[in-house]
Amino acid sequence: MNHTVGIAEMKVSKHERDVLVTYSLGSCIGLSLYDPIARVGGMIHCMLPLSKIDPAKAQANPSMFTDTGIVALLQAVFDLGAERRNLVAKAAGCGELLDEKGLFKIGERNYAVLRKILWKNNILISGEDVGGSLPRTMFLHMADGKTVVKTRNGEAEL
Amino acid sequence: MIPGTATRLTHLEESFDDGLERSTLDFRLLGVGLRIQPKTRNQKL
Repeated sequence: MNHTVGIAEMKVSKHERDVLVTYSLGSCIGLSLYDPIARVGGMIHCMLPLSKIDPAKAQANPSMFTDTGIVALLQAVFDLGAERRNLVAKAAGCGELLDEKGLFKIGERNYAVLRKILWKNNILISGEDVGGSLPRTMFLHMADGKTVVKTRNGEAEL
Repeated sequence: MIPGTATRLTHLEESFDDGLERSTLDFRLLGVGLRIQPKTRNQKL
C-alpha cells in the first residue's frame, strides 16, 4: 500500500507491502532510513534547515525543520526496532528551484544540516540525488529498502 | 552515544551561517576537527 509523506511530514513502517512516497521535493529534503535486518524504515520531507527561526512551530511539528525532523525520524525508527549500525540513509531534494539568485540557499543549507545530524548520529549517506533545479519524487519500498527518485527526466535507484 | 537514542545538534553546531563555519564544515564532517586561524602580523609564531 502506498503511503504519501506530505510536506513537513514523516512516516515510518514495518510492513513489507508498504511503499512510502513523497512528492514535490524542491529545496526541501527527503530522507529515507531503512534497516534491512529489522525491515523497519521511514521517510521524512523537511522544508527548512533550522528550527531556531520558529521554535513554537518546531515543537508543534518537528518534521517541518531538518534539525528537529531528522532527529524525530531517527527516534521513530529506533522505537520500531531499527538499529543504528544497520541503518541505510538515502537523501533527495535540496535543489534551488525558486531561488535563482541563490539568496537563501535553502537547499544547500538543508543538506548541510542533514549531513551534520547524520554524522553526529554515526550514520553515513549511502545514496543521494541532490541539488539542481528539478522537482523530485522519492519512493521507499519497505520490502527491500529500494529507494527510487523520479524526475521528469526519468527515474533512478539510489 | 546512547543506543536507540537520536542525538540532536548543540546550539554551537547549529550555527553555520557565517563564512568561517561553512568553510570548516567539511573538515568537521571528516572528523578532522581542525580550524585554521589566520595569524596577525604581531602574533608570535
